[in-house]
Amino acid sequence: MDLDRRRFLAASGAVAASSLSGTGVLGAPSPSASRSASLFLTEDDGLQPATFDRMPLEWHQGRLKILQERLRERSYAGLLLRDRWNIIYFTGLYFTTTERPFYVYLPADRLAAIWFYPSLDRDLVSSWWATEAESYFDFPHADGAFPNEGRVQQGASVDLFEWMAKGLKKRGLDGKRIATDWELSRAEQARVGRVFTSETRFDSVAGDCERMRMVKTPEELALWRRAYRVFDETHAFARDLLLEKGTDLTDYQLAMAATEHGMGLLMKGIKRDGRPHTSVGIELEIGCRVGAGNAYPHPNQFHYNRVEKGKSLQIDGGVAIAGCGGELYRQFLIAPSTDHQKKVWTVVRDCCLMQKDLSREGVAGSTVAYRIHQYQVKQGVQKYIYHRPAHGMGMEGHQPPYLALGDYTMLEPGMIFSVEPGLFDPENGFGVNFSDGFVVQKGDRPSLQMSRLPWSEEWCLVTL
Amino acid sequence: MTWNRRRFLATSGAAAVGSLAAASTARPAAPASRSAALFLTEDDGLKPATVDRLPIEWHQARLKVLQGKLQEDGYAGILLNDPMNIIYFTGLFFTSTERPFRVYLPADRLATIWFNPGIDRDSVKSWWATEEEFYFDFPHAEGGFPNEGKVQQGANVDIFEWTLQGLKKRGLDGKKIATDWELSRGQLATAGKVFVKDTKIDSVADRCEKMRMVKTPEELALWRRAYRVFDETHAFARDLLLEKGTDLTDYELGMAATEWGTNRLMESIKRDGGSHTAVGIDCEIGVRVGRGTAYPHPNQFHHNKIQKGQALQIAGGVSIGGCGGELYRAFLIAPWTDHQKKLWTVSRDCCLMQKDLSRAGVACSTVAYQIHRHQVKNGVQKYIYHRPAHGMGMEGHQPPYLALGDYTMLEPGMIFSVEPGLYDLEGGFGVNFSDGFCVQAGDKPSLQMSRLPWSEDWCLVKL
Repeated sequence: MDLDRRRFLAASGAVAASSLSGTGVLGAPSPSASRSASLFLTEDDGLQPATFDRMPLEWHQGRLKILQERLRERSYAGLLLRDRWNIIYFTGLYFTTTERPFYVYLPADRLAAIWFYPSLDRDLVSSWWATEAESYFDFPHADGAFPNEGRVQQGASVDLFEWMAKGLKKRGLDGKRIATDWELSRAEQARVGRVFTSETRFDSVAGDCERMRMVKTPEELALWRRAYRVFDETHAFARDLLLEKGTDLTDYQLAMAATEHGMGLLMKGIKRDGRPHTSVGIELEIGCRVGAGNAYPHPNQFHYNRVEKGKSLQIDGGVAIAGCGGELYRQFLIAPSTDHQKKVWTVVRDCCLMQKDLSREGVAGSTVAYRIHQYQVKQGVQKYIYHRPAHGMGMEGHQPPYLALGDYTMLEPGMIFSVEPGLFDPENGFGVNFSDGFVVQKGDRPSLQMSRLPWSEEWCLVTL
Repeated sequence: MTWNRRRFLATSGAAAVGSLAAASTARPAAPASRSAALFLTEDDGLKPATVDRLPIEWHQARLKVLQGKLQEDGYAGILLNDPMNIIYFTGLFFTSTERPFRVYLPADRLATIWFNPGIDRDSVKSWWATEEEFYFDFPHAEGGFPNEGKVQQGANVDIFEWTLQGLKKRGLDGKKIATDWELSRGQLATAGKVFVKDTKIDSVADRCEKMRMVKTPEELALWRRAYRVFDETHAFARDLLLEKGTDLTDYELGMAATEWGTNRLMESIKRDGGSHTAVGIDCEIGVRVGRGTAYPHPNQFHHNKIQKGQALQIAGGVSIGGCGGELYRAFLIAPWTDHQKKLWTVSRDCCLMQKDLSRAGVACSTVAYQIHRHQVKNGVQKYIYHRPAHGMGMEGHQPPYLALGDYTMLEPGMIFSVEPGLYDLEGGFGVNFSDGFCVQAGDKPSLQMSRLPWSEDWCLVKL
């Protein structure tokens, strides 16, 4: 242990010093020095990376205004949100979700945010956008107890849904029509009946909220592109490392090294002073799996195995800046590969390219899935099929719609999909699954690819 | 980039070879770490497990306890939907997504009847599956099974209805069925459509959760094993802080310790790359320095250079086979102010109070009350942001809570975090510790999962 630790210390110090010396320099270094980055796709699709680090408050309010209009058309007084993704999307407040109830009420007729939240987050809420706010101390909350104001007592346990409903009532919402982003449970309905004296309707408009989040605006797409730009380089770094030190490493070590490198690059361009509301929604994580772990779409075993010749290896992961970004995987075969491995790899890769071409505005998700599955079956690989080709992507990860046989949602410009027509062969201990971000474009055009990574044999079939 | 990368390559290769060479050899005896030399040495009698996960027999034994209660209440069986309950009562670790994944467990015999997505068909089959029905994927099209060569765009299938049809054809029409969630109005309507006879479906979610809240001796032993590795990981992190502190960012310190700790943990986990071994593994250190410590739940990413005069938190969680929890220590880097030192001391003292107060038979609220009183008495009320602790389980936060409004009585085997933290936004710092305190039988203070001290010696450091 001592030896390992000391070796690590020496190494880590050096790395740290070098990466810190780069902090504050804007712009990523030229990728040309990486042998992998020189293989990047170079087509200019016209989508420029954002120069900002997050959406401004005005963007969030702009999205809210669109929803408000729809709510007014349907005579709703306002919208009560509790879903984390909706709260972030319509208010811009990034926060941590726990078992503590956290609500915001947004009136339909004016720009205002009325919060009902745990006092744990009082500084975040008050320093962002809070027209009015009521907080409870913590969950479970005792009546009248606010240790932060010196009031320490063991009161009755407070029902926080009822407390929030009373907050709405005293703001004149008794007898009104209120939209929510979830279907109230029977117990919640009963409490509504207790709190409000006149008939007050709570209807879920969760579908409307989700639908808005499914279609990305130009500003979001630019931020997605910026996140993918960093991630392209991170993948290039990981591939370089694989080529140079492959069989000396475990899959876990490769992933950790790439994650740290990528995060160093990403944070170079993020302006921040350690305060909240800047450098929000940041994520960059590379995962890597080698050998048998690839044979399962959702393995339950931890990936920590030595990189070996003759195996399949996946470099995967996700990236986000202010919640904008998604996944990017490439599937490698390490020589020597069998004809069978090569065939499965080729079918999957070809299905990815098919998905790009097929995912066009006006087509149903099911139809894209149908064509891809048809192709797989025609190629004789049916027993290796385990799932639909793709899921929609958003801040929460998987997001509707899905490129799945049972999803008849029509594709619209601005929807982004993963790219996962994977094939898995547990008997032979390998599998093949790529991913990227494919954005549906306007007009009768193939999808736009978020990354610059190629789908080529040159990138993926490697000799160590 | 090239320069950084090459340096990394050169060093990373060396580290890799070193750690790979150590793999599969026995663990070295006493760690030659200056921090590990400060570990608490009291023997509390809880031995670390030698198993890497709980065996299927343990899970089935937990199920048998639940079955006894279900039979008493006249239930034919239970339909589970919550991933934590599914893992607990069947032992199948799986990935939860938007794809419905359920298991029906009869009350009168040991059997599992799965209703799962095709994506997990191998995991389910190779674990414990008496019967299995799977749909292809979500949303599922009727009759569409590309894996069997049947590619078609059928009608969208309601997976809940499909699950109930599966129960009905197994003779459950007219029976009383337990679930681990409250059915929505839509689901109730579906049940009314599927079943012809009067079929009652009631949530017994609380009962399932209550079982998970109280850890068995086997679980505690696995928790202890996970914490043993994490103690050393924290010692590594502290050593690194002392040796390279201001050369590092908080992020780098966190990553280095995570990698070191995972290597350490995986040394002893038996596995062949296949499913069902090396499950529920987690070892992650997070570090935040300076202003980020001033918020209990900051929304800003932690990637800041370590500096003198700042507060720094080494945090994180560990688990083996899903057993384990959190462990944090709050550091002050010299020179600190009297004010920083005072908040640190009050917070630390509250941790020790919690250990002593959390005893079998006491209500959670009472522990919280005493701790908050101590905080207020010490004049730090404006820095209080939350309750002292949450229960811990595989899902992270788990009831009960050491909170003024929680009147649950503490029982032996419940495990709590330790977080009577204080946060000074204006001063740009905060103090929050955590650990795992396990309630013991008899009138005894809680058992501490880690060996990390709460001392100034450990936490107040000069770089």
